[in-house]
Amino acid sequence: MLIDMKKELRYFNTIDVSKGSIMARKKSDEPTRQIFANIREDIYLLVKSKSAEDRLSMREILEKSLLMYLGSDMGVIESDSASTSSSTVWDDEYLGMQAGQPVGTPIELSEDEAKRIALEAFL
Amino acid sequence: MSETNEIMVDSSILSAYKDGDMRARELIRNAIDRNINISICTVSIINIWSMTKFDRKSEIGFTGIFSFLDVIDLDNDVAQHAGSLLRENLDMDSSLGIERAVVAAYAGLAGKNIVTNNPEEYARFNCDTKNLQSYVLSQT
Repeated sequence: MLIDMKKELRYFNTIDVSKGSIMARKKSDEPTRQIFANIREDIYLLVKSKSAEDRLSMREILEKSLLMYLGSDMGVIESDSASTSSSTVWDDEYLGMQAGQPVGTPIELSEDEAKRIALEAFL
Repeated sequence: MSETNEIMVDSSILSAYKDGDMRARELIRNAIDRNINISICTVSIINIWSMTKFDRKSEIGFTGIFSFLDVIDLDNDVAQHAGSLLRENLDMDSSLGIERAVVAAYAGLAGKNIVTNNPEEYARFNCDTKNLQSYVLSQT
């Protein structure tokens, strides 16, 4: 299967409807490079399914996978995990947008969002 | 799930959770993990929503928590039972007093224990009430 990774990355970097909500996009001002690759279809479909389930973009999954491959570059990995741990539930694009709405605005939460909100909203 | 894992909480527990109380966090975490079943009545929600420091993030936070609790509607039986409790304790005729009467009424009808930070406020209703701290310690 020929995959247009540019198209896929653009898709995953914009929005993805998952259980009625908008997939979170990790904000980053770091320089980026585009990559193109043909990968096995079965792997692609599994990753695409899991990315929706975990609310991770394909870009984030690829970056994490590449960092794991680079394993020895601990500086980069530590930098990445530090930025992840400092994020809050309100950094999520959908939840952050909802937090800016007036009290009483209807909100729908997926089970994963409800769990994360329940655990982290009042930290 | 044993009877001690089927409890009611009042607004004092949710308020403590919002304020970062570790025992309240442990209790709600157990509900999220489905280890215990926690019920809350709609009158408690009124008192949560009417807090002066309530904002949009509070609303979203509690909405998330309620996904893992049983929210009990105020039905005719509970309303009548709570009204009887209030008639005998007219000095409790406030929003918190009404909440406690409704929680006590529902717990009495459903056979549930109440977990609260104010057990002394329920003493006059002759219902099974546990302090949050002692309840959490008994579960560990």
